[in-house]
Amino acid sequence: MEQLKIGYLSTMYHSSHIIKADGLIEKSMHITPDWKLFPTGPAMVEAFAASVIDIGYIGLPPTMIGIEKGISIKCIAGGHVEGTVMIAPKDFQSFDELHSIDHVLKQFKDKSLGTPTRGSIHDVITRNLIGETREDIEVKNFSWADLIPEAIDSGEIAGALGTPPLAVISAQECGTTIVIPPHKLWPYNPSYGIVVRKELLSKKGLLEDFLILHERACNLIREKPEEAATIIAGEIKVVDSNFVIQVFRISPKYCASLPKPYIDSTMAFLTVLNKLGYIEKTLTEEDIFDLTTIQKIHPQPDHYSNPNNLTTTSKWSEVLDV
Amino acid sequence: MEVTVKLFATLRDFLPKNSDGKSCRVEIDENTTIKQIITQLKLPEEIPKIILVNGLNGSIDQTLKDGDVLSIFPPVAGG
Repeated sequence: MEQLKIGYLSTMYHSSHIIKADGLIEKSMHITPDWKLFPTGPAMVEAFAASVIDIGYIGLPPTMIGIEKGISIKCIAGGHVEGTVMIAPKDFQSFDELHSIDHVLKQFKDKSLGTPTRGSIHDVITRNLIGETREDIEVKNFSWADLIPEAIDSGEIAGALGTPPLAVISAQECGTTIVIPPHKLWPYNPSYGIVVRKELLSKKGLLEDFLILHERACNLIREKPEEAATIIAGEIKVVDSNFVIQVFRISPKYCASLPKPYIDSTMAFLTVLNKLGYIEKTLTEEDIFDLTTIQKIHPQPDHYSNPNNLTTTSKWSEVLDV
Repeated sequence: MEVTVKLFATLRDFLPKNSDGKSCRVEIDENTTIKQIITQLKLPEEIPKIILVNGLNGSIDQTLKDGDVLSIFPPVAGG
C-alpha cells in the first residue's frame, strides 16, 4: 500500500477531519495516510520545503510566500473562503453597532491585537487592516492560536483575529464576541485550499481520488451540517457537535472548487504580501494554481455563495450567543 | 523543585482543587518527565495534546527543571 503524508491544521471545518475520522483514504484509495498536525500554515510550508508532507490543507498567503521562496508546491483545489474573524471582549463595540471598520479599530488605539504566526492568512489580513487605517495598534503573533484566549483574558492583548473555532473557544473561555465578521475583513479570502508538492501533479489518478473525497466532505458540511459536526466532534474529542455547528455558522462558505472570485481574491494578496515585505517577486496564477484536476471533479458552478441552511443570523455580534 | 503547569480549554477540568482555575504548581523530583506530570494530573490519554515548555515545543519524555512553565492544551483553535 502506497503512503501519503498529509499536513493538516486543527481548523475543524477543513475536510481533513471528516476524511481522517472515517478512514476514507484507506477505504477508498487503498493508501496509508500519515497525518501530521501543524500549528499554522507557515509551519506547513516549512514541512513542504523539507519534503515532510506531500499534501496540505493550508491558506493561500503562506502558500504564495513559499512558492515565491522557491518551494515546489501548487494549489489544486479550494475548500473554504472567509475564515478570519475579529474577536474582542463585549465591552468593545462591534461592526453591527459602529458600521465602520475604522470605528471598530479606533477602540484598539495603543492596544495589541493577537493573531497566529507571521505569514499566516490571519496575520496578513490583520497587518493589512491596521496598515490601511491605523498605525497605533501593535500586532502580537502566537505560535498556537489556542494560547490567544488566555492572552485576552489576562489583558496581554485587547482582541484578536483568527479562525471561527478560535472565536467559539474564546467566547466560551473569556466571553469574547465577534466585532468584525469574516466577509467584512476580506471578501472571498482563500482561507484554505488543497496544496500539493509539484511531483504529485503527475499522479493524476491519486489526485482525482483525493479530491473526490475532499469534495464529498465539503458537500457534507454544507448540506448535512449536523451529520458533519457529529463526525468532526468525534474526531476532535474535546468539543461537542454544538461547538462545531457554531463554527460552521460563523463562516459557512465551503466548496472544493477554484472559481474566478477565489483566484482573484488570492491574487489580490500579492500586493499586500509585497508591501509587508513577505515576498519580493510577483507571481502569476499559473505559479500558484493547477486547475486541471478540480475542473474535472467539480465542473459545475461553485457553492461558496450558496451556504444553504448554515446562515441563520445577520447580526454577527450575536452569532455566538444562540 | 517546582514547576508551573498551565492547562487550557477542557483540560482545565483536571486541575487540582487548590488551583486558580488555569494553572497549578507541582513539586517534582529531579528527572521528572512531562509524561509523569500528565499521569499525576490524570489527563485523559485519548485527548490529543500539544505540549510547550517555556513556550517552546516539548515532548512527552522530556524532563523538567526547576521553574519551568509547562503548557498543555488540546489543539482546537485552528491555524
